[in-house]
Amino acid sequence: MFYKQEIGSIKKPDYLIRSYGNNDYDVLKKRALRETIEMMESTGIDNIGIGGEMYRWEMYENHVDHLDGFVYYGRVRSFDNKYYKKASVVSEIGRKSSAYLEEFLDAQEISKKDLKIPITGPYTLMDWSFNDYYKSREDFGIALAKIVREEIIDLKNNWSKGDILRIQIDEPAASTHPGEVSLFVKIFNESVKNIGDVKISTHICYSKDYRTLYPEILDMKTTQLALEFSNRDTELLGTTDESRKGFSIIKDFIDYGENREIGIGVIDVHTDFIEPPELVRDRILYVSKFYDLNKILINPDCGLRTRSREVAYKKLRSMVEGTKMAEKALGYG
Amino acid sequence: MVKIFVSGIFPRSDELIKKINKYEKKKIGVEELREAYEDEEKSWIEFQKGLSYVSDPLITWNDIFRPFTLNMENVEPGPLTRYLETNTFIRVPTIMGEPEIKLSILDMKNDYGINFILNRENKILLPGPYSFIKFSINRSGIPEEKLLEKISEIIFSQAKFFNYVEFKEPLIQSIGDLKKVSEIYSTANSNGYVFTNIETQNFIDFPLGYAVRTKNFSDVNESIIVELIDVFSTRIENLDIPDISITTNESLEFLPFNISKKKIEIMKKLLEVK
Repeated sequence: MFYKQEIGSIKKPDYLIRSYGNNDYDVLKKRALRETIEMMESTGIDNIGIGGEMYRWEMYENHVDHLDGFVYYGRVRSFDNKYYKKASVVSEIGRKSSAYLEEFLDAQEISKKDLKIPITGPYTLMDWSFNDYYKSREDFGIALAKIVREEIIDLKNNWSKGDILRIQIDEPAASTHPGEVSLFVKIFNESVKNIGDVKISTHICYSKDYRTLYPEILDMKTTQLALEFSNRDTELLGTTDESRKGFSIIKDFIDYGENREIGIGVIDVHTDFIEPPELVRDRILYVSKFYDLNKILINPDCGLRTRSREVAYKKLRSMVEGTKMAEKALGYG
Repeated sequence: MVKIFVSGIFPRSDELIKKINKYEKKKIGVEELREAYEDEEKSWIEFQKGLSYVSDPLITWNDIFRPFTLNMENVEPGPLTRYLETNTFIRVPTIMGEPEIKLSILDMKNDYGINFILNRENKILLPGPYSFIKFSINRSGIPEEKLLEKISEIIFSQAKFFNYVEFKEPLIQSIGDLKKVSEIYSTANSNGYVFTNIETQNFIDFPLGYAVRTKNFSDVNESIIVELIDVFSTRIENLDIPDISITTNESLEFLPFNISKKKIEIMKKLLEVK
């Protein structure tokens, strides 16, 4: 009954990390993709995303590396001693090549399950870059939106699996600037304008307060919001507001008029704690009390790449088992 | 007199980032890591010669609160939280009980057990007490006002070790009345300034200098710091022609004649200072 989906990345196997920059990298990345898809399919989830993003070193760099107009001057701190390469836009941007097509075609060839291709959204690409060229953030964001739209159309033209193409636009930066949500929506909508028959979902995570996105995000042209909740929830069993602190905010979304599909993050990706299926069950049952059952999807908070592959597997298995328990409790088992 | 200096924590070089990663993976020992920190510290200090103040680059710190969250009793580094509207995350202080400090900042150690390399001749950055409390998660049950007093006492007790201090107070903008903050800083007894990240605010009678992003100088006292160098753009500032333009924020016709003349005199003085 509940559709169980992956959100994004899985940790790359050591052999792939070691081969980065070597001649055998392209061969090994396909091997890693195959192994990861098999692992994910064996967990019992319905949608494996794009197989753990084995072809992408990092969600921001992967896209920027396929664009003209950017240069890297160095890295900036993400946290502690973790740094990321932050590019500067220094001239008009354009596509060198598709950032996603090769991975997309290979995943279609290998996977037996549904796919959902994550794409880094234009607002996040803008916000995570230095703007040394465009006159305004809006000009820069709209230029990136047009690039993302071209990517989506390319993917649509290369979709061969028959069912509707699912694309997840990742916008973790969406809530970074609470005074700029209208601009975020404008840029996002430009990226999906007139794309035709494609199911668009949006992933946002680690917002200080999702409510700052409302009411503007009601105007986003997306069918689903896949969000992180477990990171801010308790590990207690139960379906009370107190035990489900991380999820109670969804009631506020409803008050704002939210009625689209919602992908609820029932697995915390920042800890090795394997959520017992009973905890997953209770998180689902809690949301089921007030949200349309037909519009609830089940997923981890975010990509699992910060966990070992073994832990990621166990967490996804627990997610599947907990979902079954919730379905049974609701009379669908 | 114009003073020019750098604010905040400096970036680490790729070489130092790699050394720390190697240490975390136990591929090098603590002595090699310490040498890498010291080399980078020296290099940044050398590079700043010619500026009015040399700022301690603070490359041993993983975030602005870390010296205190690692070295205070009853305070821990908490969950990763976005620092303002940047894409950099800090571990916000989690206050579990009454904060106490046993070591001076000169003796404190960082996440890897290495002493902070702090030279009291250099300008030092310290978290402003108000923002420290506003960033924190308070699980102590102690009222915020009491905690503010305690944290102020602790931070100011460390400020005394340095000749010039920058107190980072980015969350000051969330309060309308600065009287309380002004009272706090009147106990600081430090030579330095408060870095506020605000655009305009009434700082009249504030006990320390302050940094603002300002479009007008209506609240300027004798020690304002203008943030001219933009850290959110990699474009290098062109300081040649014209370098800095300061003008009125509207037509002078909105002011009485005599006041307008006084303001023009002030503008001439600013030009002389430059």
